[in-house]
Amino acid sequence: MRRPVCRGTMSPVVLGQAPRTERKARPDASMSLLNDLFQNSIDEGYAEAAARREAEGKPASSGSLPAKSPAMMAGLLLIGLLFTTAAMHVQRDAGVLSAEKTSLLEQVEQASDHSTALEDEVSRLEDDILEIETRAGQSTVQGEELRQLMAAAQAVVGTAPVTGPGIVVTVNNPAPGGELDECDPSLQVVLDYDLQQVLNGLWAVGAEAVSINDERVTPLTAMRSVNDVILVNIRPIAPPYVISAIGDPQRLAGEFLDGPGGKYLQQIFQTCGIQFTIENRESLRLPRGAATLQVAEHPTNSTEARRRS
Amino acid sequence: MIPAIGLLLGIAAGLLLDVQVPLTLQPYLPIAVVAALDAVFGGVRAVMDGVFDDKVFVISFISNVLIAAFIVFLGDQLGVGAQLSTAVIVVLGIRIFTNVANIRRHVFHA
Repeated sequence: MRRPVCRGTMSPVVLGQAPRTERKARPDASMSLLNDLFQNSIDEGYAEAAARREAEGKPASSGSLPAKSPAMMAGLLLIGLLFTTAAMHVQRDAGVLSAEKTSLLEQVEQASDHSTALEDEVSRLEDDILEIETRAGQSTVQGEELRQLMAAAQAVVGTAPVTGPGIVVTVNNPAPGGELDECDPSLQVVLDYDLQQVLNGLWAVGAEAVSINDERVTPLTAMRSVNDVILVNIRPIAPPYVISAIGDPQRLAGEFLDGPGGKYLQQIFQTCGIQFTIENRESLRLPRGAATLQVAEHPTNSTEARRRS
Repeated sequence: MIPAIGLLLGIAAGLLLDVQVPLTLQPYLPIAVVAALDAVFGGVRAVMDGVFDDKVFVISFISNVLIAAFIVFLGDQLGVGAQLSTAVIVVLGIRIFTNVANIRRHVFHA
């Protein structure tokens, strides 16, 4: 004697030996997904099988039957296999991933070491060149004149270190808690554009040599941001941005503050809380920058270009 | 005892044979594991409720794994694989939670 088993998706499954109660199906029965999830979290097949077995006069659960079921054995074998495979797989993947990461880190470190070594070599060779040039020029009056001309040119271009009095403009992000609500959060940091304005303002009031965080600004210097990091001479610099400028100490600070650069800084301080200070310095030393021409040549006298390349 | 031996055999086979999962099937392995967990907890709850049936257990386990993997595969083909995996995980997760809560009620009567 079999009871017909209803297979409706939302028929309330009553577990255990309790008799099935007939209830009117709700019109949204097949749509109440979450309801279904919570109520029928157990496979409906269990209730059906139990009902079938009960109808045949056997106990509702086959769990108490002798555990000689080949189906159970096969199923548990599969479960064991699946879990073990997955666990081993995850473990192997983790090993491969960490090995990859380590090897990448090593490569980065090697490349960075290599780059440092090359920079040291460049700096050493440039010192050598300077020394040879000095020695070559000392022998004759003409050579001495030439050497002085070249030193002056290098100081202007920025390929030789320079010293002199000047000002230091320090620009920094707003202090924690000092953010202004009316300013777009993405503008509450120092942008490459801000530094460009400061730089232009300094040139405009007669600065003769400028460096930013010890990166000398040369004619070939670009100042741009990549992924929120500001690059000067293709090198990343971090706040606070210290901009040193050599120029007439009597007027540089005052004129800068009244000029376009100072006005711009005051404006972004008022709108977005960007901090800045301007200090006079008796003596500044700006480092040498690199300005090597790769393609361009002097039209009439290209010996210099050829010698340098 | 035979089911326990089956489980041990399965674990041993997994450890010893070092089954290489084909690259195309690898994304479906975690989903298959979660589906299998759902079937396992469903089975345990059925035991507690006194309605356990071995065939239903095995069939629900196999079909759960296959359907879950198939849904994710289908999602991958349609370009919504990640979202469908989330859907599968959410549904199976809710079921596992409900079943485990039920088992807990049976065991601790709380």
